[in-house]
Amino acid sequence: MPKAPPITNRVKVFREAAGGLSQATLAEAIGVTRQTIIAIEQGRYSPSLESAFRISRVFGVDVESVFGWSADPAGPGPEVR
Amino acid sequence: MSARELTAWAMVLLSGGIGASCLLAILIAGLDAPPQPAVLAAGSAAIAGAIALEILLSIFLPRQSCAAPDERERMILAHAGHWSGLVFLFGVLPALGHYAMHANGNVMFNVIVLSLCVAALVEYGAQIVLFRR
Repeated sequence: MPKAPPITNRVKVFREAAGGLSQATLAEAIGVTRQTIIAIEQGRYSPSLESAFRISRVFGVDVESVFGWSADPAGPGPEVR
Repeated sequence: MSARELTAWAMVLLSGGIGASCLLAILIAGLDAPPQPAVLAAGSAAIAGAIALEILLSIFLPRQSCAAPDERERMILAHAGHWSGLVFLFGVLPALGHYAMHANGNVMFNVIVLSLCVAALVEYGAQIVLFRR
């Protein structure tokens, strides 16, 4: 099984909070396929920065409310300058 | 299942069928035999099958089949194309080497045809795996 990317997300939570917005509607709003939304929600795919911003704009929140970083304890986390 | 995954499944079946018939024809005639009519017919069948598949997809899934690939699909198509290109290279290079040494174009043709079939199988197989992963 492939290793899950360290990017976490709450897309499904926000989608359900937004009155049960469907995956197909969200996909159309940000210009990807429904399969890509499913992959994002299941943590199998990390979206591009552009798509991450588009998703957060659909929900009217900032990008860090929807996406987070779950650092691998064995590896280095994101470098902060 | 997306239209692209559906296409990949259909192309795996098509490539598998075409590849098996090419392999059989080449094995029966011998690797150094001139291009077999069955192989040439299989090539035409592959082109006709791919066109028919696109027409069917356009009829039954018009929006999905005409849409440009999104960011995830582009990445998957690129990876699958990369692996199939490598597989094709591993077939073509020995075929060219053999031609350079023995000047036998028939062997080169047959090996390249088989490499094309295997590369197509790898490309669409990889697409299926990556789409479902």
